[in-house]
Parts: sequence; C-alpha cells; structure tokens
Amino acid sequence: MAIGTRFPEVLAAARRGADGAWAELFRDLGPGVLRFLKAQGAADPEDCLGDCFLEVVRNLHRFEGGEDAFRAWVFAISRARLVDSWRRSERRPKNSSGGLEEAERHHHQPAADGAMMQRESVARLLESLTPDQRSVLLLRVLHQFSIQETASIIGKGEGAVKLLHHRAIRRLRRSLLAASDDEEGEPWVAGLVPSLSPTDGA
Amino acid sequence: MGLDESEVSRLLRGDVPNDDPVWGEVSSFLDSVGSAYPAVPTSAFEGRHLAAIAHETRLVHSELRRPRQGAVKRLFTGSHRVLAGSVGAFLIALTAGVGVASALGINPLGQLLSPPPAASSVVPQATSAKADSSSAANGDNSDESGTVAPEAVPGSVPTPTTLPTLGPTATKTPGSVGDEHKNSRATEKANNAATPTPHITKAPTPHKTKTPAPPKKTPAPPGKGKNG
Repeated sequence: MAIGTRFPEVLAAARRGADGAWAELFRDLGPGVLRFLKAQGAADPEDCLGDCFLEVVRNLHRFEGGEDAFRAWVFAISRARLVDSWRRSERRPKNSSGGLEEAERHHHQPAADGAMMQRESVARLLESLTPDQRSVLLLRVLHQFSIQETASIIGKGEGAVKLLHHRAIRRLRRSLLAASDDEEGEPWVAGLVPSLSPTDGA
Repeated sequence: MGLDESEVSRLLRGDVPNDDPVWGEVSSFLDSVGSAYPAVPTSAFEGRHLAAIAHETRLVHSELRRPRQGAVKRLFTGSHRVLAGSVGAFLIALTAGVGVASALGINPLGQLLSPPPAASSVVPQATSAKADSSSAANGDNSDESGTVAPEAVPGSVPTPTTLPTLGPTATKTPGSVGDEHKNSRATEKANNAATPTPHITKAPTPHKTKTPAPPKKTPAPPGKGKNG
C-alpha cells in the first residue's frame, strides 16, 4: 500500500511535475482519502477528493517531510475540503421531501443487503457523535493514525485529541447501551452488534 | 467510568475488557466501522482526476516561474529609475550651481582649473594702500622708485617677489577715505600719462581685479591739478 523507500524519489518527481509520480501518489492515497470522506458524510466525496489533490498540487512546494507526514498532510487537506463541503451544503436549501422519503425507506423497506444495513447502522451511530469526535474516531480506527498525526490533521493538540477520542468511545457505549435497553430494540443496532440481539438478553 | 489510554488501545485492537460486557459491544462496533466503509477503488474516475492534476501541475509550474521573472523585471526597473533620477538630480544641481556662480561673477570653471596662489591675494591691496599712504603723507612726487621699475616694463607679469618690498600697509585714519579716492584717481591719470600699468589688473584671482590702485605714481599737489 505504502510507497516505501521510493517515496522521496516519487515526491521529487511530483515536484518536477511528472505525471507518473502524481498517478502513483493518487493510487496510493486516493482510496483511503475517499474512504475517509465517505465515512464523514461528504455530499460528493469524489469531487471532494479531486479538490483535495488539486490543493496538494498547489501547495506541494511548501511540504517537507517523509511518507507518513505526507499522508497526514493529505488527510488534513481532505478534512479542510470536507469542512468546506459541509458549509456549502448548509448554505444550500434543503430538500425536505427527500428527507421524508429516506425516513420512510428506513422504516418500511427492509434492507435487501446485509452490508448495506450494517453500513447504515454504523452511519447512524456515528451521527450521534460530534464532527470532531467522528473525525478522531475514524482517523484512529479506520486509518490507524497516531495521536500526533490525528492532532495535526484536525488542527488540535494531542490532549484535545485524546479527550475527543475518549468522549467518542463513551458516547458510543451509551448509545449501544440505550439501544440494548430498548424493549423493541433497534433492528439496525441488532444487526450491527450480534451481542445486542434480544436472544442474548444484553 | 473512566478510560485510560491502554484501555482505548485494547479497544482499538479488538480486545474486550472482562469487567464490562458493554465494552465488548463497543469493540465489535469499532470492528464493524472498518467493514462498513471498505476501501473504494478509484480506478473508475482516476483518469479524470489525473488529467486535472496534470493540468494544475502545469499551471502551478508556470505561476512559480512567473513571479521570478517579474521580480527580476521589477528590480531592473527600480534600479533603472533610481539611476536615472540620481543622474537627473545631479545635472539639475550642477546647472543651478553654475548659474548661481555666474550670477555672482565667479567663473567656476576658472576657479576649478587654475586655483590662485595663496600669497598673491593680499599683496596687491598692500601695495596700493602703501602707495596711497606714502604719497598722502609725504607728498613725494618722485615716483620713479626702484620698486616700480620691474612693473614698468610692458608685458611683464607681476610676481609676488617684486611687490613685498613696499612693506606692510600704513595705518589709515577714517577721515582719509575721501582723500584716498581723489588720490587714486590722480594716481591713475598720472600713471596713464607716465607708464602704463595694466599688469596689476591681470592678477589671477577675480577679487584682485577690484583693487585697481597702482602703487607707483603719487598725485601732484592739489594746487597743480591734472594739467600741471
């Protein structure tokens, strides 16, 4: 997955404007960035990914560091583009009928695919977190960034990142506990966590 | 229920704490996050993004080159302006200086090219004053003294070595100013009649030309007048 020891050469070639080097960087980092953007609920993750790499091209002459630092730097740019997309979507008039249709689909149409249901369940639980908590959790869990790298990506201190991480986990625990205490049970939670199924009596 | 960093790390690794079964659910959820958002291949839109990246790369490289050229051009333009301005200011100052010097009657180029000797600037005044005082005091009209002889030669150039024989200037009284003018006129006419002495006016310094009194001839007594 990682470029490894060839990374300085690839980065130097990208600085010179070599298309092959940029293709290699895009193939290495693009899928992870797109995964992060989708997990964060970006409105148009593919466009957001394109904007992110254009920003990387514009600011590459300011970057200094190794491969891990470059990866964290690209994710920081992608998060900035993500925040911009959130602001743009907040300024847009919302389509209320679309929200109703989605809610109706959730209640009355069972998910045909188990993976789709699991994804929607995870998305619902993640929506209970604040954006910063969600970012920290995804960066730490999905992308295996360290505390320092996560702090540099979201632009906060390491202590703040630890606090956000702990609060996110505690909130997840409360949400899972509340879902298990519900008599009717939440089908999406039951599908997500097998231990919370009514038969187990969690 | 507090969490320390080791417990969080265990949760992230998928290790379930034994004391609280809910933590096991949290750990299962964190595992499911990874499976809910799998890595998406970007090959479907890779070509479009790479084309945009290549275009942006060319734009960035051209923009990075342009400010350097502009900086050099600005530097040249600025230095050129400073140089032209300084030359213009120097020419204006020089013209103004020459104009002022000409208005004062000073030839600045002559001053620059032939500076006068320092000793000759005092001597002509001394000779004229000595001549006037001696003639006024003594009434001596025997003006063919030996000191004048070198200057009487036409075409000879007055040198400082001939003049100090007259000695220092005599003391003047304030009332003798009018007599001095009269004496100088009479002396001038007498000199014109006797020996032409235009040499003193050829003194090198311009201010020496303003001391026209020749030291040689003493005027005649007042009763004799010009015709005598």
